[in-house]
Amino acid sequence: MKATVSLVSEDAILLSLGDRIDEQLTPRIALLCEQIEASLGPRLLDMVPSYTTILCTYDPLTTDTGRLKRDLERLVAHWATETSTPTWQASITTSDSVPLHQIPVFYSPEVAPDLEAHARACSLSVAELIEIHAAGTYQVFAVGFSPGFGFLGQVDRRIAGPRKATPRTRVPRGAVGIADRQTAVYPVASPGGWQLIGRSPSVLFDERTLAVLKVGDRVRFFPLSRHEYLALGGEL
Amino acid sequence: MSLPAPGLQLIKPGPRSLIQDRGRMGYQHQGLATGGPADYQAFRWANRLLDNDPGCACLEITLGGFEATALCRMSLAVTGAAATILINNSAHPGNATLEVRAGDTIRLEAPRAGLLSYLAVAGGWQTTTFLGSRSVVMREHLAGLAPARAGDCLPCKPQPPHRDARVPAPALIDYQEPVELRILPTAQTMLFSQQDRRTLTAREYRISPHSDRMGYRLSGPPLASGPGGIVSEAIPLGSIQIPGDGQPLILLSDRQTIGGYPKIGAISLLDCSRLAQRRPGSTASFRWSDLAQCRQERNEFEQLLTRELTSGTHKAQHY
Repeated sequence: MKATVSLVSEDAILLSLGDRIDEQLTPRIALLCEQIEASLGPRLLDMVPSYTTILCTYDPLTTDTGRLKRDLERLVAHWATETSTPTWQASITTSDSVPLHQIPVFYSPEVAPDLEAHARACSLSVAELIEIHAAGTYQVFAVGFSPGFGFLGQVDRRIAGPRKATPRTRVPRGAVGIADRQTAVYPVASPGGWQLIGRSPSVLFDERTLAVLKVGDRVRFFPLSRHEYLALGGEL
Repeated sequence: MSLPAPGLQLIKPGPRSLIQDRGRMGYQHQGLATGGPADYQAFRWANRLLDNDPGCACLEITLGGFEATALCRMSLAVTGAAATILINNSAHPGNATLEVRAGDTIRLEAPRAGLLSYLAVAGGWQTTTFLGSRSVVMREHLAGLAPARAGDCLPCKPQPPHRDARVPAPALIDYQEPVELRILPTAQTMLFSQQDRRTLTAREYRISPHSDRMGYRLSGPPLASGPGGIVSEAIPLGSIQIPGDGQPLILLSDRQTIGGYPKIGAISLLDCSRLAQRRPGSTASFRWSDLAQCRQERNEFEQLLTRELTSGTHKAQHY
Protein backbone atom coordinates (compact mmCIF):
# COMPACT_ATOMS: atom_id res chain seq x y z
CA MET A 1 0.00 0.00 0.00
CA LYS A 2 1.17 3.50 -0.78
CA ALA A 3 1.42 5.67 2.33
CA THR A 4 -1.05 8.56 2.44
CA VAL A 5 -1.12 11.82 4.38
CA SER A 6 -4.59 13.26 4.91
CA LEU A 7 -6.39 15.95 6.87
CA VAL A 8 -8.81 14.22 9.23
CA SER A 9 -10.05 17.11 11.36
CA GLU A 10 -9.59 20.80 12.00
CA ASP A 11 -6.32 20.14 13.81
CA ALA A 12 -5.06 16.67 12.88
CA ILE A 13 -3.25 14.95 10.02
CA LEU A 14 -3.34 11.17 9.68
CA LEU A 15 -0.48 9.22 8.15
CA SER A 16 -1.80 5.89 6.84
CA LEU A 17 1.16 3.58 6.41
CA GLY A 18 -0.33 0.14 5.86
CA ASP A 19 -3.67 -1.51 5.36
CA ARG A 20 -3.46 -4.40 7.80
CA ILE A 21 -1.82 -5.42 11.08
CA ASP A 22 1.76 -6.30 10.20
CA GLU A 23 4.59 -7.05 12.63
CA GLN A 24 7.14 -5.66 10.16
CA LEU A 25 5.39 -2.29 10.01
CA THR A 26 5.55 -1.47 13.73
CA PRO A 27 9.33 -0.87 14.00
CA ARG A 28 9.11 1.22 10.85
CA ILE A 29 6.33 3.30 12.43
CA ALA A 30 8.44 3.74 15.58
CA LEU A 31 11.29 5.01 13.39
CA LEU A 32 9.03 7.43 11.50
CA CYS A 33 7.79 8.82 14.84
CA GLU A 34 11.39 9.55 15.83
CA GLN A 35 12.07 11.22 12.49
CA ILE A 36 8.93 13.37 12.70
CA GLU A 37 9.72 14.33 16.29
CA ALA A 38 13.27 15.34 15.33
CA SER A 39 12.15 17.32 12.31
CA LEU A 40 8.79 18.82 13.27
CA GLY A 41 8.57 18.31 17.05
CA PRO A 42 7.81 21.88 18.14
CA ARG A 43 5.10 22.25 15.49
CA LEU A 44 3.12 19.28 16.81
CA LEU A 45 0.92 19.15 19.91
CA ASP A 46 0.60 15.37 19.90
CA MET A 47 1.74 12.42 17.83
CA VAL A 48 0.01 9.08 18.34
CA PRO A 49 1.18 5.93 16.56
CA SER A 50 -1.03 2.89 16.23
CA TYR A 51 -1.01 -0.37 14.22
CA THR A 52 -0.88 1.18 10.75
CA THR A 53 -1.13 4.92 11.33
CA ILE A 54 0.35 7.98 13.02
CA LEU A 55 -1.95 10.85 13.99
CA CYS A 56 -0.30 14.28 14.21
CA THR A 57 -2.18 17.04 16.05
CA TYR A 58 -1.23 20.71 15.68
CA ASP A 59 -2.53 24.18 16.50
CA PRO A 60 -4.09 25.55 13.30
CA LEU A 61 -3.81 29.13 14.61
CA THR A 62 -0.03 29.02 14.79
CA THR A 63 0.89 26.29 12.29
CA ASP A 64 0.28 26.46 8.56
CA THR A 65 -1.68 23.35 7.60
CA GLY A 66 -0.50 23.18 3.98
CA ARG A 67 3.14 23.50 4.92
CA LEU A 68 2.90 20.95 7.70
CA LYS A 69 1.18 18.49 5.36
CA ARG A 70 3.88 18.94 2.72
CA ASP A 71 6.62 18.47 5.33
CA LEU A 72 4.96 15.27 6.55
CA GLU A 73 4.60 14.01 2.97
CA ARG A 74 8.28 14.63 2.39
CA LEU A 75 9.27 12.76 5.57
CA VAL A 76 6.94 9.85 4.74
CA ALA A 77 8.33 9.55 1.21
CA HIS A 78 11.92 9.55 2.47
CA TRP A 79 11.03 7.02 5.19
CA ALA A 80 9.23 4.71 2.75
CA THR A 81 12.30 4.53 0.52
CA GLU A 82 14.77 4.19 3.39
CA THR A 83 12.92 1.38 5.17
CA SER A 84 11.95 -0.66 2.13
CA THR A 85 15.49 -1.88 1.41
CA PRO A 86 16.27 -5.50 2.32
CA THR A 87 19.29 -4.33 4.35
CA TRP A 88 17.09 -2.17 6.55
CA GLN A 89 14.51 -4.92 6.96
CA ALA A 90 17.22 -7.36 8.00
CA SER A 91 18.78 -4.88 10.41
CA ILE A 92 15.54 -4.41 12.32
CA THR A 93 14.75 -8.12 12.75
CA THR A 94 18.18 -8.78 14.22
CA SER A 95 18.33 -5.57 16.20
CA ASP A 96 19.00 -5.90 19.91
CA SER A 97 18.42 -2.19 20.49
CA VAL A 98 14.66 -2.77 20.79
CA PRO A 99 13.73 -2.81 24.50
CA LEU A 100 12.55 -6.18 25.79
CA HIS A 101 10.30 -6.14 28.87
CA GLN A 102 10.07 -9.29 30.99
CA ILE A 103 6.71 -9.22 32.72
CA PRO A 104 5.99 -11.70 35.53
CA VAL A 105 2.50 -13.19 35.67
CA PHE A 106 0.66 -15.27 38.26
CA TYR A 107 -1.51 -17.50 36.07
CA SER A 108 -4.15 -18.89 38.44
CA PRO A 109 -7.93 -19.05 38.71
CA GLU A 110 -7.42 -17.32 42.06
CA VAL A 111 -6.65 -14.03 40.23
CA ALA A 112 -7.82 -14.84 36.67
CA PRO A 113 -11.56 -15.50 36.40
CA ASP A 114 -11.44 -16.63 32.75
CA LEU A 115 -8.34 -18.83 32.86
CA GLU A 116 -10.10 -22.19 33.12
CA ALA A 117 -13.01 -21.33 30.82
CA HIS A 118 -10.67 -19.87 28.20
CA ALA A 119 -8.44 -22.96 28.28
CA ARG A 120 -11.54 -25.14 27.82
CA ALA A 121 -12.75 -22.93 24.95
CA CYS A 122 -9.34 -23.41 23.30
CA SER A 123 -9.45 -27.19 23.97
CA LEU A 124 -6.24 -26.89 25.98
CA SER A 125 -5.31 -27.66 29.54
CA VAL A 126 -4.59 -24.65 31.77
CA ALA A 127 -0.92 -25.67 31.83
CA GLU A 128 -0.78 -25.74 28.03
CA LEU A 129 -2.43 -22.35 27.72
CA ILE A 130 0.08 -20.85 30.18
CA GLU A 131 3.00 -22.45 28.39
CA ILE A 132 1.89 -21.09 25.02
CA HIS A 133 1.20 -17.57 26.38
CA ALA A 134 4.58 -17.43 28.13
CA ALA A 135 6.46 -18.83 25.13
CA GLY A 136 5.73 -15.90 22.82
CA THR A 137 7.70 -12.74 22.26
CA TYR A 138 5.19 -10.00 21.64
CA GLN A 139 5.45 -6.62 20.08
CA VAL A 140 3.76 -3.43 21.30
CA PHE A 141 1.54 -2.46 18.35
CA ALA A 142 -0.18 0.47 20.03
CA VAL A 143 -0.56 2.19 23.39
CA GLY A 144 -3.98 3.56 24.27
CA PHE A 145 -7.43 2.80 25.64
CA SER A 146 -6.22 3.74 29.13
CA PRO A 147 -2.94 5.20 30.46
CA GLY A 148 -0.08 2.84 29.61
CA PHE A 149 -2.26 0.10 28.08
CA GLY A 150 -0.13 -1.67 25.44
CA PHE A 151 -1.76 -3.74 22.71
CA LEU A 152 0.61 -6.71 22.35
CA GLY A 153 0.60 -9.23 19.56
CA GLN A 154 0.28 -11.55 18.11
CA VAL A 155 -0.62 -14.45 20.37
CA ASP A 156 -0.47 -18.00 19.06
CA ARG A 157 -3.73 -18.84 17.24
CA ARG A 158 -4.30 -21.74 19.64
CA ILE A 159 -4.90 -19.35 22.56
CA ALA A 160 -6.67 -16.55 20.65
CA GLY A 161 -10.27 -15.92 21.62
CA PRO A 162 -13.07 -13.38 21.37
CA ARG A 163 -13.77 -10.59 23.85
CA LYS A 164 -16.40 -11.33 26.45
CA ALA A 165 -19.94 -10.66 25.21
CA THR A 166 -20.54 -8.40 28.21
CA PRO A 167 -17.49 -6.41 29.33
CA ARG A 168 -16.69 -6.33 33.04
CA THR A 169 -17.36 -2.98 34.67
CA ARG A 170 -14.07 -3.24 36.53
CA VAL A 171 -10.92 -5.11 35.63
CA PRO A 172 -8.23 -4.72 38.33
CA ARG A 173 -4.79 -3.26 37.78
CA GLY A 174 -2.32 -5.90 36.60
CA ALA A 175 -4.92 -8.18 35.00
CA VAL A 176 -3.52 -10.00 31.95
CA GLY A 177 -6.00 -10.54 29.14
CA ILE A 178 -6.44 -11.96 25.67
CA ALA A 179 -8.70 -10.60 22.95
CA ASP A 180 -8.50 -12.03 19.44
CA ARG A 181 -4.76 -12.38 18.75
CA GLN A 182 -3.82 -9.60 21.16
CA THR A 183 -2.75 -9.74 24.77
CA ALA A 184 -2.30 -6.97 27.31
CA VAL A 185 -1.77 -6.07 30.95
CA TYR A 186 -4.30 -3.58 32.37
CA PRO A 187 -1.98 -0.90 33.87
CA VAL A 188 -4.83 0.76 35.80
CA ALA A 189 -8.23 -0.52 36.90
CA SER A 190 -10.81 0.08 34.18
CA PRO A 191 -13.82 -1.54 32.54
CA GLY A 192 -12.74 -4.24 30.10
CA GLY A 193 -13.93 -7.11 27.97
CA TRP A 194 -10.78 -9.21 27.53
CA GLN A 195 -10.48 -12.84 28.68
CA LEU A 196 -8.51 -12.61 31.94
CA ILE A 197 -5.90 -15.35 32.21
CA GLY A 198 -3.48 -14.02 34.83
CA ARG A 199 -2.36 -11.09 36.91
CA SER A 200 0.96 -9.28 37.05
CA PRO A 201 2.46 -7.45 40.03
CA SER A 202 4.36 -5.16 37.62
CA VAL A 203 3.57 -1.45 37.52
CA LEU A 204 3.10 -0.47 33.87
CA PHE A 205 1.91 3.06 34.50
CA ASP A 206 2.31 5.51 37.32
CA GLU A 207 2.52 9.27 37.55
CA ARG A 208 6.32 9.26 37.85
CA THR A 209 7.44 6.71 35.29
CA LEU A 210 4.42 7.12 32.97
CA ALA A 211 3.87 4.34 30.45
CA VAL A 212 6.51 1.61 30.58
CA LEU A 213 5.60 0.18 27.15
CA LYS A 214 6.29 2.05 23.93
CA VAL A 215 5.15 1.22 20.40
CA GLY A 216 7.78 -1.09 18.89
CA ASP A 217 9.01 -2.49 22.24
CA ARG A 218 8.99 -6.25 22.82
CA VAL A 219 7.43 -8.12 25.72
CA ARG A 220 7.77 -11.62 27.19
CA PHE A 221 5.77 -13.08 30.05
CA PHE A 222 7.08 -15.53 32.63
CA PRO A 223 5.02 -17.48 35.16
CA LEU A 224 5.26 -16.83 38.91
CA SER A 225 4.29 -19.09 41.77
CA ARG A 226 1.72 -17.78 44.22
CA HIS A 227 4.50 -17.20 46.74
CA GLU A 228 6.63 -15.23 44.25
CA TYR A 229 3.62 -13.21 43.12
CA LEU A 230 2.81 -12.15 46.67
CA ALA A 231 6.48 -11.44 47.41
CA LEU A 232 6.54 -9.04 44.45
CA GLY A 233 3.57 -7.18 45.91
CA GLY A 234 0.86 -8.91 43.90
CA GLU A 235 -2.72 -8.54 45.12
CA LEU A 236 -5.26 -11.34 45.36
CA MET B 1 -0.77 28.44 62.43
CA SER B 2 -0.68 29.24 58.75
CA LEU B 3 -3.54 31.10 57.15
CA PRO B 4 -5.71 29.15 54.72
CA ALA B 5 -4.50 29.41 51.15
CA PRO B 6 -6.44 32.15 49.44
CA GLY B 7 -9.09 30.92 47.05
CA LEU B 8 -12.49 29.36 47.03
CA GLN B 9 -13.80 26.85 49.55
CA LEU B 10 -16.39 24.50 48.05
CA ILE B 11 -19.58 23.88 49.96
CA LYS B 12 -21.46 22.00 47.19
CA PRO B 13 -19.74 21.01 43.94
CA GLY B 14 -23.07 20.21 42.22
CA PRO B 15 -23.50 17.11 40.05
CA ARG B 16 -20.01 17.48 38.58
CA SER B 17 -17.34 20.15 38.74
CA LEU B 18 -14.00 19.61 37.05
CA ILE B 19 -10.93 21.78 36.71
CA GLN B 20 -10.11 22.18 33.03
CA ASP B 21 -7.38 24.07 31.27
CA ARG B 22 -6.51 23.77 27.59
CA GLY B 23 -5.86 20.04 28.08
CA ARG B 24 -2.94 17.67 28.52
CA MET B 25 -1.21 17.84 25.16
CA GLY B 26 1.64 15.62 24.08
CA TYR B 27 0.87 12.46 26.07
CA GLN B 28 -1.81 10.73 24.05
CA HIS B 29 0.81 8.22 22.88
CA GLN B 30 0.96 7.14 26.55
CA GLY B 31 -2.77 6.50 26.51
CA LEU B 32 -3.57 9.69 28.42
CA ALA B 33 -6.64 11.55 27.19
CA THR B 34 -6.20 15.29 26.63
CA GLY B 35 -9.19 16.42 28.65
CA GLY B 36 -9.78 20.15 28.28
CA PRO B 37 -12.99 22.16 28.29
CA ALA B 38 -16.00 20.51 26.65
CA ASP B 39 -17.16 24.02 25.65
CA TYR B 40 -14.01 25.69 24.40
CA GLN B 41 -15.85 28.90 23.46
CA ALA B 42 -17.28 29.58 26.92
CA PHE B 43 -13.92 28.59 28.46
CA ARG B 44 -12.06 31.12 26.31
CA TRP B 45 -14.54 33.86 27.15
CA ALA B 46 -14.25 33.20 30.89
CA ASN B 47 -10.50 33.73 30.66
CA ARG B 48 -10.85 36.64 28.28
CA LEU B 49 -13.12 38.58 30.65
CA LEU B 50 -10.32 38.52 33.23
CA ASP B 51 -7.49 39.11 30.71
CA ASN B 52 -6.08 35.69 31.66
CA ASP B 53 -3.80 33.68 29.41
CA PRO B 54 -6.18 31.84 27.08
CA GLY B 55 -5.42 28.41 28.59
CA CYS B 56 -5.81 29.24 32.31
CA ALA B 57 -7.63 26.64 34.41
CA CYS B 58 -11.36 27.21 34.95
CA LEU B 59 -13.88 25.17 36.90
CA GLU B 60 -16.28 23.44 34.50
CA ILE B 61 -19.56 23.12 36.41
CA THR B 62 -22.21 20.76 35.01
CA LEU B 63 -25.85 21.66 35.69
CA GLY B 64 -25.20 24.22 38.43
CA GLY B 65 -26.08 23.26 41.99
CA PHE B 66 -22.79 24.81 43.01
CA GLU B 67 -22.00 26.72 46.19
CA ALA B 68 -18.72 28.05 47.55
CA THR B 69 -17.27 30.60 49.94
CA ALA B 70 -14.60 33.09 48.97
CA LEU B 71 -11.58 32.98 51.29
CA CYS B 72 -10.14 36.22 49.94
CA ARG B 73 -10.98 39.07 47.61
CA MET B 74 -11.19 37.70 44.08
CA SER B 75 -12.11 38.71 40.56
CA LEU B 76 -14.22 35.95 39.02
CA ALA B 77 -16.07 35.42 35.75
CA VAL B 78 -18.83 32.99 34.86
CA THR B 79 -19.67 32.04 31.27
CA GLY B 80 -21.53 29.28 29.47
CA ALA B 81 -24.92 27.88 30.49
CA ALA B 82 -27.64 30.42 31.28
CA ALA B 83 -27.76 30.12 35.08
CA THR B 84 -28.54 32.56 37.85
CA ILE B 85 -25.51 33.46 39.92
CA LEU B 86 -26.12 34.48 43.50
CA ILE B 87 -23.57 36.32 45.58
CA ASN B 88 -24.82 36.46 49.15
CA ASN B 89 -28.31 35.94 47.75
CA SER B 90 -28.23 38.86 45.31
CA ALA B 91 -28.59 37.80 41.68
CA HIS B 92 -25.97 38.56 39.06
CA PRO B 93 -26.02 37.94 35.33
CA GLY B 94 -23.62 35.49 33.77
CA ASN B 95 -21.14 36.17 30.97
CA ALA B 96 -19.55 38.92 33.05
CA THR B 97 -16.93 39.49 35.72
CA LEU B 98 -17.82 39.39 39.43
CA GLU B 99 -15.92 40.85 42.36
CA VAL B 100 -16.16 38.98 45.66
CA ARG B 101 -14.69 39.56 49.12
CA ALA B 102 -13.58 37.12 51.78
CA GLY B 103 -16.66 35.51 53.33
CA ASP B 104 -18.92 36.05 50.31
CA THR B 105 -20.97 33.05 49.25
CA ILE B 106 -21.25 32.25 45.55
CA ARG B 107 -24.05 30.06 44.26
CA LEU B 108 -24.81 28.87 40.78
CA GLU B 109 -28.36 27.68 40.24
CA ALA B 110 -29.46 24.98 37.80
CA PRO B 111 -29.20 26.49 34.31
CA ARG B 112 -32.28 27.52 32.33
CA ALA B 113 -30.46 26.56 29.12
CA GLY B 114 -27.22 24.74 28.41
CA LEU B 115 -25.29 22.37 30.65
CA LEU B 116 -21.85 23.74 31.39
CA SER B 117 -20.72 26.85 33.25
CA TYR B 118 -17.12 28.02 33.43
CA LEU B 119 -15.99 29.71 36.63
CA ALA B 120 -12.72 31.54 36.09
CA VAL B 121 -10.57 33.52 38.50
CA ALA B 122 -8.02 36.18 37.63
CA GLY B 123 -4.76 34.31 37.04
CA GLY B 124 -6.48 30.91 36.87
CA TRP B 125 -7.15 28.27 39.53
CA GLN B 126 -3.83 27.00 40.93
CA THR B 127 -4.69 23.32 41.38
CA THR B 128 -2.39 20.31 40.87
CA THR B 129 -0.45 20.26 37.61
CA PHE B 130 0.46 16.95 35.98
CA LEU B 131 2.43 16.85 32.72
CA GLY B 132 1.85 20.52 32.10
CA SER B 133 -1.91 20.51 32.65
CA ARG B 134 -4.41 20.79 35.48
CA SER B 135 -7.21 19.13 33.48
CA VAL B 136 -9.11 16.37 35.26
CA VAL B 137 -10.05 13.27 33.27
CA MET B 138 -12.27 11.43 35.72
CA ARG B 139 -11.75 7.87 34.52
CA GLU B 140 -7.94 8.14 34.73
CA HIS B 141 -7.96 8.57 38.54
CA LEU B 142 -4.58 10.32 38.50
CA ALA B 143 -3.18 11.55 41.82
CA GLY B 144 -4.39 15.05 42.71
CA LEU B 145 -6.68 15.23 39.68
CA ALA B 146 -10.11 14.36 41.04
CA PRO B 147 -13.49 16.02 40.54
CA ALA B 148 -14.09 18.87 42.99
CA ARG B 149 -15.62 17.74 46.29
CA ALA B 150 -17.30 19.57 49.15
CA GLY B 151 -14.61 21.02 51.40
CA ASP B 152 -12.01 21.34 48.65
CA CYS B 153 -10.15 24.60 48.38
CA LEU B 154 -9.39 25.96 44.93
CA PRO B 155 -6.29 28.14 45.33
CA CYS B 156 -5.73 31.26 43.27
CA LYS B 157 -3.07 33.95 42.95
CA PRO B 158 -3.41 37.28 44.71
CA GLN B 159 -4.54 39.77 42.06
CA PRO B 160 -5.39 43.47 42.01
CA PRO B 161 -9.11 44.13 41.41
CA HIS B 162 -10.10 43.64 37.80
CA ARG B 163 -12.16 46.04 35.72
CA ASP B 164 -15.73 44.99 34.95
CA ALA B 165 -16.23 43.29 31.63
CA ARG B 166 -18.91 41.27 29.89
CA VAL B 167 -19.11 39.03 26.85
CA PRO B 168 -20.21 41.05 23.79
CA ALA B 169 -23.72 40.27 22.52
CA PRO B 170 -22.59 38.76 19.16
CA ALA B 171 -20.69 36.07 21.06
CA LEU B 172 -23.66 34.90 23.13
CA ILE B 173 -25.24 31.60 22.12
CA ASP B 174 -28.79 30.38 22.69
CA TYR B 175 -28.25 26.80 23.80
CA GLN B 176 -31.95 26.01 23.38
CA GLU B 177 -31.80 26.36 19.62
CA PRO B 178 -31.27 23.07 17.78
CA VAL B 179 -27.60 22.76 16.92
CA GLU B 180 -26.38 22.40 13.34
CA LEU B 181 -23.03 20.67 13.04
CA ARG B 182 -20.80 21.20 10.02
CA ILE B 183 -19.02 18.06 8.85
CA LEU B 184 -15.49 18.11 7.48
CA PRO B 185 -15.19 15.19 5.06
CA THR B 186 -12.17 13.01 5.82
CA ALA B 187 -10.32 10.02 4.41
CA GLN B 188 -12.93 7.54 5.66
CA THR B 189 -15.99 9.49 4.48
CA MET B 190 -16.05 7.53 1.24
CA LEU B 191 -16.26 4.23 3.15
CA PHE B 192 -19.95 5.15 3.53
CA SER B 193 -22.52 4.97 0.74
CA GLN B 194 -23.85 8.07 -0.96
CA GLN B 195 -27.21 7.17 0.55
CA ASP B 196 -25.78 7.28 4.08
CA ARG B 197 -23.91 10.49 3.40
CA ARG B 198 -27.22 12.03 2.32
CA THR B 199 -29.18 10.59 5.22
CA LEU B 200 -26.80 12.17 7.71
CA THR B 201 -27.63 15.69 6.49
CA ALA B 202 -31.25 15.11 5.45
CA ARG B 203 -32.55 13.85 8.77
CA GLU B 204 -32.49 15.01 12.37
CA TYR B 205 -30.71 13.23 15.18
CA ARG B 206 -31.54 13.25 18.86
CA ILE B 207 -28.92 13.53 21.59
CA SER B 208 -28.88 10.33 23.63
CA PRO B 209 -28.76 10.33 27.45
CA HIS B 210 -25.53 8.28 27.09
CA SER B 211 -23.56 11.40 26.27
CA ASP B 212 -20.73 12.83 28.30
CA ARG B 213 -17.32 14.47 28.05
CA MET B 214 -15.96 11.40 26.23
CA GLY B 215 -18.51 11.52 23.47
CA TYR B 216 -22.00 12.53 22.42
CA ARG B 217 -24.20 9.71 21.15
CA LEU B 218 -26.89 10.60 18.68
CA SER B 219 -29.86 8.51 17.74
CA GLY B 220 -31.63 8.63 14.41
CA PRO B 221 -31.65 6.88 11.06
CA PRO B 222 -28.82 4.32 11.20
CA LEU B 223 -25.89 4.63 8.78
CA ALA B 224 -25.23 1.01 8.03
CA SER B 225 -23.07 1.07 4.91
CA GLY B 226 -19.68 1.53 6.57
CA PRO B 227 -17.35 -1.22 7.69
CA GLY B 228 -18.19 -2.26 11.27
CA GLY B 229 -14.60 -1.73 12.31
CA ILE B 230 -11.18 -0.55 11.15
CA VAL B 231 -7.67 -1.22 12.43
CA SER B 232 -7.53 0.87 15.62
CA GLU B 233 -6.07 4.34 15.15
CA ALA B 234 -5.81 7.58 17.12
CA ILE B 235 -9.00 9.65 17.20
CA PRO B 236 -9.01 13.40 16.52
CA LEU B 237 -11.32 15.70 18.48
CA GLY B 238 -14.75 15.98 16.86
CA SER B 239 -14.54 12.71 14.93
CA ILE B 240 -17.95 11.27 14.02
CA GLN B 241 -17.58 7.54 14.63
CA ILE B 242 -20.15 5.15 13.22
CA PRO B 243 -20.11 1.92 15.23
CA GLY B 244 -21.89 -1.28 14.21
CA ASP B 245 -25.34 0.00 15.20
CA GLY B 246 -25.02 2.88 12.71
CA GLN B 247 -25.67 5.59 15.31
CA PRO B 248 -23.21 8.52 15.22
CA LEU B 249 -20.90 9.05 18.20
CA ILE B 250 -19.05 12.37 18.29
CA LEU B 251 -15.78 12.21 20.23
CA LEU B 252 -15.09 15.08 22.64
CA SER B 253 -12.35 16.17 25.07
CA ASP B 254 -12.19 13.02 27.23
CA ARG B 255 -12.28 10.61 24.27
CA GLN B 256 -10.11 7.52 24.47
CA THR B 257 -6.88 7.98 22.55
CA ILE B 258 -7.36 5.18 20.00
CA GLY B 259 -10.36 3.31 18.66
CA GLY B 260 -11.48 0.97 15.94
CA TYR B 261 -14.68 2.46 14.53
CA PRO B 262 -14.81 4.12 11.11
CA LYS B 263 -15.42 7.87 10.97
CA ILE B 264 -17.76 9.48 8.46
CA GLY B 265 -16.15 12.88 9.11
CA ALA B 266 -15.29 15.33 11.87
CA ILE B 267 -16.80 18.48 13.32
CA SER B 268 -14.83 21.55 14.38
CA LEU B 269 -13.69 22.56 17.86
CA LEU B 270 -16.35 25.30 17.92
CA ASP B 271 -19.09 22.89 16.88
CA CYS B 272 -17.93 20.48 19.62
CA SER B 273 -18.40 23.42 22.01
CA ARG B 274 -21.96 24.05 20.83
CA LEU B 275 -22.83 20.37 20.97
CA ALA B 276 -21.48 19.88 24.50
CA GLN B 277 -23.93 22.51 25.83
CA ARG B 278 -26.94 20.60 24.45
CA ARG B 279 -28.97 18.38 26.70
CA PRO B 280 -30.03 14.80 26.01
CA GLY B 281 -33.28 14.76 24.08
CA SER B 282 -32.55 17.89 22.06
CA THR B 283 -32.01 17.65 18.33
CA ALA B 284 -28.90 18.02 16.21
CA SER B 285 -28.57 18.19 12.44
CA PHE B 286 -25.60 17.99 10.10
CA ARG B 287 -24.44 19.86 7.04
CA TRP B 288 -21.42 19.05 4.84
CA SER B 289 -18.79 21.75 5.03
CA ASP B 290 -15.07 22.16 4.47
CA LEU B 291 -11.87 23.16 6.19
CA ALA B 292 -11.85 26.67 4.66
CA GLN B 293 -15.19 27.50 6.26
CA CYS B 294 -14.09 26.01 9.55
CA ARG B 295 -10.90 28.10 9.53
CA GLN B 296 -12.85 31.25 8.72
CA GLU B 297 -15.22 30.69 11.61
CA ARG B 298 -12.36 30.01 14.01
CA ASN B 299 -10.59 33.18 12.89
CA GLU B 300 -13.75 35.20 13.43
CA PHE B 301 -14.04 33.76 16.93
CA GLU B 302 -10.43 34.67 17.69
CA GLN B 303 -11.01 38.18 16.30
CA LEU B 304 -14.03 38.69 18.53
CA LEU B 305 -11.93 37.67 21.52
CA THR B 306 -9.38 40.39 20.78
CA ARG B 307 -11.96 43.18 20.69
CA GLU B 308 -12.03 45.75 23.44
CA LEU B 309 -14.63 44.70 26.01
CA THR B 310 -17.24 47.04 27.43
CA SER B 311 -17.74 47.10 31.17
CA GLY B 312 -20.43 45.05 32.87
CA THR B 313 -23.82 46.73 32.99
CA HIS B 314 -24.65 45.10 36.29
CA LYS B 315 -22.33 46.09 39.07
CA ALA B 316 -22.17 43.90 42.12
CA GLN B 317 -25.00 45.27 44.23
CA HIS B 318 -23.33 45.15 47.60
CA TYR B 319 -20.55 47.46 46.58
